[in-house]
Amino acid sequence: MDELNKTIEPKEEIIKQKIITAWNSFVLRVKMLKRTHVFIAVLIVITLLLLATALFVNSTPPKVVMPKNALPSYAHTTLKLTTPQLIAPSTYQTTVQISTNQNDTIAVGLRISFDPKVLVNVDIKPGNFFFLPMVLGKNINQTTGTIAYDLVLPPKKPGVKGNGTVAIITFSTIKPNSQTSLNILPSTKVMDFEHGASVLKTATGITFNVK
Amino acid sequence: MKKIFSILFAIVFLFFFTSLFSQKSLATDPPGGAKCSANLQSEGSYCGGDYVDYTNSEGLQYLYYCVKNDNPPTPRGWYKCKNGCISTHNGLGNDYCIGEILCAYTHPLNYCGSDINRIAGDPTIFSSNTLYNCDNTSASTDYNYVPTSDAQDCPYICNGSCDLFAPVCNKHSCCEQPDCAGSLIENNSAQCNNVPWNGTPLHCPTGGSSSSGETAHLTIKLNGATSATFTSTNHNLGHCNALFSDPPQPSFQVNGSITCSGGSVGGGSNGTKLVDQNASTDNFTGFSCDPSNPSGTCGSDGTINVGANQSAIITANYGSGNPPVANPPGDGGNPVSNPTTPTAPTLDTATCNPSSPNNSEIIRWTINGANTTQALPYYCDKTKAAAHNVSCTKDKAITTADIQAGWYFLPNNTAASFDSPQTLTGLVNGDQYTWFVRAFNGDHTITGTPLADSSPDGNFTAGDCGTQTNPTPISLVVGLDGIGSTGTHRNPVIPADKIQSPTVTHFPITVELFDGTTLKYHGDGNIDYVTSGANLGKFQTTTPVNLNAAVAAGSYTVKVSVPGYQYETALPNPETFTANETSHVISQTVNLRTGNVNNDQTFDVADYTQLIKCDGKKTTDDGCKYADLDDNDTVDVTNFGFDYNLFLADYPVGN
Repeated sequence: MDELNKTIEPKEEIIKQKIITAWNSFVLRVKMLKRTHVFIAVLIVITLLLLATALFVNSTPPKVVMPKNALPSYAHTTLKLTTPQLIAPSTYQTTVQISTNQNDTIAVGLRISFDPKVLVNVDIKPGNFFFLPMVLGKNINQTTGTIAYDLVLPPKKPGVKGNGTVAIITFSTIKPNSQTSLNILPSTKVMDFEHGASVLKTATGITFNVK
Repeated sequence: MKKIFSILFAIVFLFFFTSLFSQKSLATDPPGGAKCSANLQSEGSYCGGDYVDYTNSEGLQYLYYCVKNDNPPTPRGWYKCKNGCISTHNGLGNDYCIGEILCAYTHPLNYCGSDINRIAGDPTIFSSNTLYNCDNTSASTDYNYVPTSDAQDCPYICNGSCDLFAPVCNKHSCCEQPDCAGSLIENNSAQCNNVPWNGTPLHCPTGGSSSSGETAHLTIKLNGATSATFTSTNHNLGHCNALFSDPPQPSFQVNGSITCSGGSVGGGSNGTKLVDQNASTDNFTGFSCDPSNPSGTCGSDGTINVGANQSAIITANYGSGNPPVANPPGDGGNPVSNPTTPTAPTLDTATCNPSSPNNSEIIRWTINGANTTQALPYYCDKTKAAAHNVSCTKDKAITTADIQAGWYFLPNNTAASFDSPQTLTGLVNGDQYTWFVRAFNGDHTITGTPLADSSPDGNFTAGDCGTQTNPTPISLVVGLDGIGSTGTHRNPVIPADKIQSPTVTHFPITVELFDGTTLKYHGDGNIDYVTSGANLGKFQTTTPVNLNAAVAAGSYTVKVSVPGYQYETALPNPETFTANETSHVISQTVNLRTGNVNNDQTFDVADYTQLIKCDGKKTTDDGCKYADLDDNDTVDVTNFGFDYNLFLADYPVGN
């Protein structure tokens, strides 16, 4: 009987150990699963924050679609202001991006509005989309908050097709923690050599939070 | 679950990647990743000739898109290397100057010297030995304007080969054509119009002689004038005939002499003025040529034939006759006829004097061809004359007892200084008056020689200050930039001796009066080129523009629009209208910018592109009707053509 008991006891221990091992393994797996879930949750939160920041907080680009009755079928060019970047304390830089698609462009006449109570020391200069362009005229009205900037290629230069920075705008801000906009006005024109009317299809401004 | 993780990671990764990529696209480096040399900073440098999109024979002398590290920093621009530019020949930058960077010209007005500039005082004028305008802005102070004597002497644009990259312009090369842009055209080659020509020597085409059949043609182009005087001095013609002509033209006169190397003066057999090769001197003083009555010295085609081996320099100066009148549009270029005497004065208005409405009247007239000190306004009381059984009679003695009843009087009964307008006082309320203006030839006194009277006479009733119900006619003078005596917007004055008559002398005009921003009155009319008098070279309303209604008393902003020209507030100050004006004269000349090439009432890049599309074309070509800004019948853009420069000078950005 004692022998029998002796033979039975190890089997029970083995089972007991197996149960304990299985339990520990289960607990470990559960713990690992929790960590993964936490990690997933953190990633989701970060992603949502970044997306919200990108889409809603920092820039809500006001899009200007040129009036349809004035929009010829050959107008394929778009203009877009990029989100202003802080390049110095209270000083920002934004760029006017052009995408001409099929249009061979030779001139851009920018008309941009801004809030003169928020933005000061506004300046604009050519980007690198046009090579050796000519500034036909430049007029920054700090009172009315308007930029008029006409950039053209000299005669006999071929038109330019593609994407790039057509102009660079810098400004300072005097009203921190506010939201303001730079809008591309409908009077903005992009010209090619072939047509007599503007080939600008859409223009997108920018709304951003001043830091 | 793994798929969800992957998507989330991809979103996060793409977001950061996009952010980084966007940041990079904001860089302002020039194309090709160029970098500045040691003494430059920022935006990259490369020798001009090496850039893929830019070829120039002198490109290796220049670095582009660089900023010199000075204090203050030299702004972005094109910089010339003093001793050339070392290039890597790959267009990717790391190019540098040998030695110093000189400077310094860039857009938008990279002129190479004063001689190519059009008008002295314009901030786009540059010294021929100095390079200007580094900072690429439009402020006039950035151009470092330095007036030079050359600029003063040569107020016209270079129409030749002024190389932007080799500033070698000089007065001769750049101004040769404008100098000859007068009434004379040598060898029928130059495109000149109505500016006195100061003596490019007349010569035989190949240096031959009359015996070899060569003739040096010198065309005297009057553009329709009925009379003009030319003065000639010494000129070495060489061994050939010289033919002066401008067929067809009514008549012209030549004063001066042609000195010959030897021999005697001969005469033409077919009515032409001929000086043969043996003539020593042919005195042209007083020589008149009327092709309708050809003589031994005047051809039926209005030519003077100067024989071979003569010497003469011809200087064209319009004499006491009428200056030339350009052809009206659409007449095929045929000249128009003008009377040989100055145009008679025209009566504009007689309006009630608001300060003394019962017995005072203000009369206005246009003097036209006569000097303002040479005209006298006369008025006569018709009611009074009729009461005494006489009529108002000019220049005739009245024999009745009431002789004074028919007299014409002068304002204040004096002949001193009568400019328009004049106020007549002491009138009899309710009496009817008649008046006219007499122009005198050189003497404004009543004993002077009458030259011309206005016609018909004007009439008014003293004290007739009732409510004006008829539309108000408006008269005004308009300067069109680049035409006649009007320069650019910055410098609107063209010297009298540089005035060129336009081809198009007639424009439609619209006049609008605004009360604030509200359009109150408007009217359409015409303006015509003024060929004489104080408004020479301007345009004026030959017939006043009738507005759509009588203008109520008040101040109005005046806007004037002419096709192809400016549409904006034309006068610096509002125009004041008094009550019951039967007509109104805008005393200030309205100058309109040119360059509204697509005639859409705005100035923008669409006008620019239309202008360069019309390069070398005529106004009859599609879309080019308003592109010939200087009205020389051709749109000149390339090589900094005249129309191109005029466009740049007048361009009002943001208008």
